[in-house]
Amino acid sequence: MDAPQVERLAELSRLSLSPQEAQRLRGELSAILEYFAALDKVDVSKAGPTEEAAPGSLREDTVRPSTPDEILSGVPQRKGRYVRAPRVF
Amino acid sequence: MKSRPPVGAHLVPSMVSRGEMSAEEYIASMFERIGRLDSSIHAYLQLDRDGALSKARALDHRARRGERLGKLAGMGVAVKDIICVRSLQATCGSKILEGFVPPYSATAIQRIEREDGIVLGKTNLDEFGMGNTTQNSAFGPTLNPWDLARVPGGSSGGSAAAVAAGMASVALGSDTGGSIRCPASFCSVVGLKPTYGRVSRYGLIPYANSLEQIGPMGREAEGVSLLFEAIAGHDPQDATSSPEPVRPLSAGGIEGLRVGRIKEFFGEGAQPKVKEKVMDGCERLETLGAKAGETSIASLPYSLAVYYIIAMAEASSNLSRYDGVRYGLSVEKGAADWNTAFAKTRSEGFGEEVKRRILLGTFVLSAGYYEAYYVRAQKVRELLTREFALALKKFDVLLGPTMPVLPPKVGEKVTPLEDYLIDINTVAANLTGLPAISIPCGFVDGLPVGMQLIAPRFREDLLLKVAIAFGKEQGLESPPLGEAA
Repeated sequence: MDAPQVERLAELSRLSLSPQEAQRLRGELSAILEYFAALDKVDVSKAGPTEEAAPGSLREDTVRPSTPDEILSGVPQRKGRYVRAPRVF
Repeated sequence: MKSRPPVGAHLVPSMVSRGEMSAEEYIASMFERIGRLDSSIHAYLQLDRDGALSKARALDHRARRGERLGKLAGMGVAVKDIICVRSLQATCGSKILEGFVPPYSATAIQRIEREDGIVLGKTNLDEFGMGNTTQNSAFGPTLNPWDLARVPGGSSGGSAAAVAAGMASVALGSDTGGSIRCPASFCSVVGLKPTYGRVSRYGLIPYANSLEQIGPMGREAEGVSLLFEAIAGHDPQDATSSPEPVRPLSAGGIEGLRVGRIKEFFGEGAQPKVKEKVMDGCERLETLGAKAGETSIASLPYSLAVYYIIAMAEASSNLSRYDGVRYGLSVEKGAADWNTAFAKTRSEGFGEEVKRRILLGTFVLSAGYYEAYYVRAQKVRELLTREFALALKKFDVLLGPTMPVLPPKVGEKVTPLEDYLIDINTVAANLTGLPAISIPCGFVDGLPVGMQLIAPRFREDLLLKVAIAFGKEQGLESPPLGEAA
């Protein structure tokens, strides 16, 4: 894994890394990926499509009592009952 | 003041119900121990002393009036701080959840409270459950009650240390790749990872949804069994929880039980003394009437790579919810744009290990690498599941060391990869969804060794039966905490 790749991953992951952090991670991530490469040796031709665990049953979509004030009380930045977010544009 | 809670955890409910013991005095004795011991162990992040004592008083009052009490009446429960308890701050061992107080309790907590169990507080963990040492917590490490220079295992290390030191009757942990069984092994307690879908994950803050389960921990299997029966069963709030009825423990011993030692679990990566101890444990099961043999799971050496690829992929997706907007830490209060603010909060809020897993998870899911890593890992997971199903046709339970090593020393320098490698025996149960338990199997050089057993889906009853029988034979030792037991 090279430096631009680490930079790109950090961007995709919404993490900002210091140069030292990026340098250290490059070595660590490369060693881990090398270990993952062991899977190349497995013959997976006989493995069918992954059996996804089917949900047992979905509950009815009914309105139940909620606690909006409690939920809003945890919001870091608010304007009245609105959540304040950084600008998108 | 008594130094150790006077009775086995499982005896507490009947004694409290019959008025033979005061729940208030019992819970108070637990807080007294916490006050005395936890400054050196650091198992708890937060205590709810007032809430717990007032609940205990109410139970004593109801007992005096002859009311029928729940199956966990008076038991003090320590809760891993990744499981939501209404009105108690939830941290996941991370700075990013700063100030977050969940507005609801997890289903497992609601069920414990319905059976009159009493939450004592929240316990320390590796951040978001990512680790096997409980040293990756933003709030400082937990230490092993058996040797304060050693790690307690993780990520449910706070819960394991709390029950090992008698600072809780029983505890809840969560297990994504061994996070209940690893600390159970290192702290000489019993820890059960239930079948995937057996216990509701509603209120468990997610790390890797297809792998994790909430499970019970305790010094003795009898208490673990009581807690398991209270929390198990279908929950409409978790669509992956199973409607399959919970099997009650059957009476009788383990005569004729077919035990299969998994050859790969005793591989060259395992410390020889640990292997010997677990072989000895297997022989003791035979003296109790079990029939032991050996079996092989060919894909097992690949399970660790499969596990980390899948767990990191799921983590990278799960942890994208932490944006500093709706709850938790928010460092950028200025006029920064969305992505800059988002990245700044996340970089400050997440610890090193969490960042590593988010980055690698993003990598294995990214275009060009998805097939080679993620899809391939899912296929090997499928092979592994089939191989386990075959082995469990020949044997009732499968056996091996829970951890291939003794508890490492605090501060030991290892690379991230070296650290992952000690999970080699625990991750398969999560990948296959099978129930697995770690039970105390004795000591090597004064340090605990755990024996792991794996059973077919929804056969926790078998695991608990073996654990109870073995525990009676093994006896109970207490950690040397500078006090008379």
